[in-house]
Amino acid sequence: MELNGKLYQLKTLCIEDVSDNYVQWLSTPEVVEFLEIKYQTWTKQEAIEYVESFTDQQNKYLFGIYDEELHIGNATLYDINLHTGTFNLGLLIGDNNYWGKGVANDACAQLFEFAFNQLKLRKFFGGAYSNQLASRIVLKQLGCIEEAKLKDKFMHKGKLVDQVIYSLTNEQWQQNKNNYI
Amino acid sequence: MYQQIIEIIAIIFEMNASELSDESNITNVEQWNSMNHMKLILTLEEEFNLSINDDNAIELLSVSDICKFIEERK
Repeated sequence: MELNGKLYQLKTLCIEDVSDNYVQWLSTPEVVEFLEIKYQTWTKQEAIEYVESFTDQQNKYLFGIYDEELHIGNATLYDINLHTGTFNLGLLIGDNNYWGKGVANDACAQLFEFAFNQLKLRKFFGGAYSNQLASRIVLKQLGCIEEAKLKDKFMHKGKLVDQVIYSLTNEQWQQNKNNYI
Repeated sequence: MYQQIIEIIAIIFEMNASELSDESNITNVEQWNSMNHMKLILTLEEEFNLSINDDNAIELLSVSDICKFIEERK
């Protein structure tokens, strides 16, 4: 499956796409700083098994983020509940040459469009570390609403930080999306 | 102070100050992305000798919000 955004493309990730570069991202502190996978060391086999775990699933999707043919990061839809219509999403921008280049906005917009318009899901619930300003700004720009704060949920560089919970309904996305799709 | 803030934003966002106004915000300024916003917050802290916490930083998404915030703390 391929999704096309204004700037970048999302393509279903396969085990053939698990490059040494990709595995390196998973072990790079600056890349995984705000992700819970940072507590794990990753081998290539473990990364392959992770990609394989998405095959033929209806409750999660794994995409590679591409600039033409260059794999620059990953995007996931997960915790999809078809009964309640809810989902979460995740991003990993592995190639630091693409930080600050609109990847997060573009990839999230494509995920929202896919989740709301193709999967017909109802509401996004997601979170960010309270000091993860870049992600919080992206979520706000895309129309997400801050719903709650979970005190001292995560550890960041030795300090406890809150998790901020954001949401976005299908209706809210339809109203906001023209700036991003 | 308004002009000082406009000039700070223009420098960080690498744009002309004349393209900015008190209506400028994160949705109508293309260069106002998450990375530039973080640089802006750090610069405002240095220039005005302020500490801006994360919850405040996430709300300072327009020229008018920034001006009001700094004015209240001077």
